[in-house]
Amino acid sequence: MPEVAKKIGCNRVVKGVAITNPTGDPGLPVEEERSLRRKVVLQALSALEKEVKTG
Amino acid sequence: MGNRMRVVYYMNQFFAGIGGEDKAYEPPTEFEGPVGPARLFEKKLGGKGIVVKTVSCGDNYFAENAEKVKGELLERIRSASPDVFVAGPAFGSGRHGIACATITSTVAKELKIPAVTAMHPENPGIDVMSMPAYVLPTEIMATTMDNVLTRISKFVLKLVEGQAIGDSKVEGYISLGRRVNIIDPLTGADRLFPLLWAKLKAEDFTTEVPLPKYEVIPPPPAINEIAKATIALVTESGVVPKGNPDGLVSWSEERWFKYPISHLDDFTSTTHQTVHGGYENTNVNQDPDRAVPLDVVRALEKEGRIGKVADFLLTTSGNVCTTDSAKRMGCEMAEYLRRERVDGVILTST
Amino acid sequence: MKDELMVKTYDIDSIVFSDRTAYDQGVLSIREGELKALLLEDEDIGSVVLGIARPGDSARIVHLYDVIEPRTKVEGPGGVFSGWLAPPSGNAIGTIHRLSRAAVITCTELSSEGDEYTEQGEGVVDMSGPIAEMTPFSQTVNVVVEVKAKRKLTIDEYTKAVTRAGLKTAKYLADTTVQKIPSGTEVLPGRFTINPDLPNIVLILVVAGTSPTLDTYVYGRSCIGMVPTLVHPNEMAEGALVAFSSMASSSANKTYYYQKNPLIENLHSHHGTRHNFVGVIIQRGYSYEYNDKERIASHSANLARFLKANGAIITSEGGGHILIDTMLACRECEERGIKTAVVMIEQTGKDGTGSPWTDFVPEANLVVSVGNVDEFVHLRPVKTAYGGKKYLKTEIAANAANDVRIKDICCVNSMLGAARVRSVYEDRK
Repeated sequence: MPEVAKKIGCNRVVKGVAITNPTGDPGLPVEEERSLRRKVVLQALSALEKEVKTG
Repeated sequence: MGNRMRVVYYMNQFFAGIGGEDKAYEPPTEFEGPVGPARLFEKKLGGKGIVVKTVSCGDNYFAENAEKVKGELLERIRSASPDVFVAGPAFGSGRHGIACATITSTVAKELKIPAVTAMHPENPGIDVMSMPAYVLPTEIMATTMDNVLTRISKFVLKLVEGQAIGDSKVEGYISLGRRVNIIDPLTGADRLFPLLWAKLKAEDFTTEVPLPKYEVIPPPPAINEIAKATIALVTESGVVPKGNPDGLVSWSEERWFKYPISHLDDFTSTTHQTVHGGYENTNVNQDPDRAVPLDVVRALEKEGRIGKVADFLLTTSGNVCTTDSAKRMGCEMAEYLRRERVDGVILTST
Repeated sequence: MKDELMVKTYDIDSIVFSDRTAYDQGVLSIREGELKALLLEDEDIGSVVLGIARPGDSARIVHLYDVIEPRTKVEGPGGVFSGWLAPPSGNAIGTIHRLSRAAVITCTELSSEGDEYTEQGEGVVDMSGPIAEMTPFSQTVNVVVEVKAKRKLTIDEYTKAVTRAGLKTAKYLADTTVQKIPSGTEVLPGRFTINPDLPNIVLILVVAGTSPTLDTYVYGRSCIGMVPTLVHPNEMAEGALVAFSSMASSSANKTYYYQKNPLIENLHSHHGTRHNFVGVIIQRGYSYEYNDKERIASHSANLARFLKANGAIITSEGGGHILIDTMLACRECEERGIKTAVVMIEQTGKDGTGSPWTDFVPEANLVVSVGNVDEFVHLRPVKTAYGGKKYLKTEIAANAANDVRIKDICCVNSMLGAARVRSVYEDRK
């Protein structure tokens, strides 16, 4: 839950797909799922590259 | 108790006059009567009590042999038939604080006598205090020893006289913030309405559960050259090598493990699994990349988008983990990652 | 017919097995064979064991599945438990009868072949002793219905079979009061008169909806996939909501507390004097995707706003990520200017030192505590055990001593505010 992560002090938070599969989606065909996972990871990397201020 | 009360007093090797850091590995020992601060403490009791024994232990010895020392000290203390136990004050000293908190809480529980110690409110010893023992607040430096001993002596006399101890702010002790269940005269449904009516009228009300306060953690600076950075994969989703070699548990876990991944491009259902009890495991068991995206991160490493994937996956199962455990594990993981010169972390959570 | 529901109450002083089923001046007699035969008409049920557990008995009930208040409808369209014992077309006007200080308690050991389901948790009621102080059902005379399946059923079939048995028993017992003189009568109006000088309060019930062992049935249908909806409290009195929560017994909602909801009782009794009670919103909890949680919570708050609510009471049940649904509902209401009171369990760990929750919103500044579910309690030896011979998934005899987590004790941490357990800071007891 991104709200909670932010509340407890995490400064860089990326929303995952779902509780049972934060970086995946079994409902998608394999290639599309890989694509989705890559998108989430790239968001994470981009957060690491960004300066952030405390909220 | 018409007679003077019998006090047993604990302090570390330094305050007992045994020595400084050079004597921090001294095993438990004892002295007849008061030693060090216990002398001044006894005076402050104004004839109402005497310190019959002083026990002591080296801070490092205590830290590394806690269970053994607890048992040994308890026996030494018990054999003096005390009415009261006092330890410290530890002020800002962490190891002394932990030792004082440990032995004071143990004495309170096992010997069922009033037991009091004192230290700075941020001393890590506070985390190991437990009721019915008490801890009074002090400054960090020992310059206020006289004032602290006065407060401890007054508090101890109150306890011994059987006086009821009220709110921590009023009585001058540190609230341990421990929640316990009680049976209220009213049901939750009955207690709710006066609170809500007050809130609706913009009047004061007191919530029954104060919101947790979390510390503000300043964000680390951004990674400048991520194409040269080492990125580690860390997770609380409970992903472990198939067969769960270290027996990671599905809830209330207090340990974390590191598993090599430098030889892997991908997690599969034959190499890895999850044991987390807080979410339906089927999806992640079918493909653990759905919780820890190793396949993508490895691909990005090959493409040169990031410098390197760290050699080990750090994993735990975060289900019903207390915040204290989680915080400790986080600190330990961070220490490890810093030693390994990791630049950034992708932490996945369910 | 007037737009109101008349509720006639019949006090129960004692319940006995006898040669005929009848109600006579506070004494309910049950012809055991007749009730068993009725329940065994159900193809899915193989065996039924009946028992009566009375307040003060040295007795314990284990394997508790649901608790239901005996009720029946004597006048008006439809019947109690629409979708189960009556057509699913609830129309809560007319007259119902209820037995007070009595309950039907169904017990079973769920099992299923091949089905993957989240496992049943233990549910315990003690009729005397320290644990009885905590659980509300030590105060009711309980007709215990222990049910076993006839053959291998899917988990969906099994839970429904046990549910049917409980509801049928509840109606069967209440039917004894037809034509009898009640101890009390209450008229629950269909339309609320609103006093514009008082604040409007809505009740938002966040209920379980995820699997056959953790679900809520609305008019006979699972609430999984249901958007937040409005119900009138009279519909609940008539049995529109049936609980399917066989986990986390201390904080799961039971059908009894949908029929006889302590928050609704207080909402009624101060209606027109301290506040206006404007309705009940049922919000399905336990959706898996964060988007769904936001969507549902927001929809709930929009309904509350539509009702012109000034205040909202928000409840939850069970534990785990449904608490997120509840906290989001709180946030969405507060964002719309609706002041909230949340009823919530705490999860501070075995020794009470952890933080109460991991999932919360800063807007939750009024929370009523219903206790720490992680504490351990001691169950002492008793003479008789009903509902099962051993504690669930153990080899310990059910009437023997045992140390269990408080979450096994039925309704002790009810987030409908039904019980008296709460948590406080230890040094401010």
